[in-house]
Amino acid sequence: MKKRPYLLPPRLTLALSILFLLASAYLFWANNSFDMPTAELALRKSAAEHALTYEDLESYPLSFEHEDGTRSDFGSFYFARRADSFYVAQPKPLANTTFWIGHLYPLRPYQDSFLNSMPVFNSEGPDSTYVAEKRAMLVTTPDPAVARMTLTQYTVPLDADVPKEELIANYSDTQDCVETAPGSGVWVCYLTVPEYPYASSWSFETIVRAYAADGKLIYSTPEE
Amino acid sequence: MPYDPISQYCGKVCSMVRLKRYRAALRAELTAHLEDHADCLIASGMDAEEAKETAAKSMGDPYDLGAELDALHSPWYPRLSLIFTGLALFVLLTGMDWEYGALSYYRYAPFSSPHALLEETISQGILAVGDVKGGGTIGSYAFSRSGAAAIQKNPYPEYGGPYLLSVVISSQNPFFWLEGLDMAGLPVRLSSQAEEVPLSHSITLDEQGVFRRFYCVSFPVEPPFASRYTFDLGEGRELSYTVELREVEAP
Repeated sequence: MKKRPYLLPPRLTLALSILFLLASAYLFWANNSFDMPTAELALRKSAAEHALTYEDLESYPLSFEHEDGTRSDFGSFYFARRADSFYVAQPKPLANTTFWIGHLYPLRPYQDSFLNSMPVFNSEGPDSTYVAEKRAMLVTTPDPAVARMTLTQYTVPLDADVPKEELIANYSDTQDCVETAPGSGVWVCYLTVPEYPYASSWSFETIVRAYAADGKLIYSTPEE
Repeated sequence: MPYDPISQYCGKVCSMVRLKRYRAALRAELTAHLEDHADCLIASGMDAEEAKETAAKSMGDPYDLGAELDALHSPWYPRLSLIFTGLALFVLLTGMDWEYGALSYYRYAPFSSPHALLEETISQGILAVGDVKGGGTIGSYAFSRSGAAAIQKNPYPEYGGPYLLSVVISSQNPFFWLEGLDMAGLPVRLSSQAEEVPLSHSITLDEQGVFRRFYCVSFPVEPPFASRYTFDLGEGRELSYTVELREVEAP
């Protein structure tokens, strides 16, 4: 019996190995939810999944100018409006991969979006303290003259049983939000809660108020 | 070692073939062919040494023949096969998060029955069941012409009211990398109600195929229930379905 040099013909083996590689690449991509390799492709994918097109998205570089003239940049955001629906996305690279995500999130009017909110540990000084920072975005319909946000941090200090009223006085910040462009209905807010002592647990409360040009309160959450 | 023209010829041919694994088989086949030719020449009265020499010469230049055979049996086929197989195994063994990746919760079931999926999705509190006919296209999503529907008691009445009309439909999309259509922000109109009603919820089910996605879309409805509902979905009402309910029980 003639001994065959190959189990399968070499070209068939090559074709099968290419198919195997393509199948493994497909499974790898599918297992990563078909995330895209660039920010634009991620936005195009997300827009298509919401029956929108990439061209429907408007880009706003969001930044907040503080009273002292300094500016905090929040990066570029993408928005889309459709009837009463409002979508927002900020494409971000996924950690430890080459993929980007750019999910469009529905945002109801006056619902604040946490762009960034985190307690920052400050270990300097004799006592450990935290500083809370909140960067938020709002969309408003109809467009008010003023949008104002209050961030309150409730905590249980280890050293004293502080009344809630005192906590609000000590650990609360209220700021007017800044509209990204006149009439855009997109506002950014930047709040910080000054240093507060270490606590075993804490929680944050956000209150949004919007006023008409004559000063009349037209929106508040929670309702007042 | 005695001079053997056939062996020498085969050696020259094989020296041109880079694929070592093929050389032994090639040498055996070529030697057998040349020896057969030489035997014929010997049978016709030629001297054995001369017959071998003539048989070898009749094959032409050994280096040209070797080059042609090398092109036919390029070593790059097995090399590339090995590289591609190795890459595929590397991706599958090291790049896949089988525990938490998307494939860990997908169920490959492109030919699922909408009625079976509806029963799995809402197994309790069903007051009426029926069929859905219609269809349409939104973007690149082409929706199925039929589906299944049921009216159920809402297990979470604080979200969407006490009763829900739930519909299971599916879509086909050539762009397999797109997830299911997110219908949450699309305008919806249900025939039995004068005002546009928001969807109570719309979910893409775990069952899916490469191109197919299944959805469970729910609307709030109020008794008395009709036996026929129609609903439109989309800015231009691209998606339109009629729901025929066969069994309706009073709540």
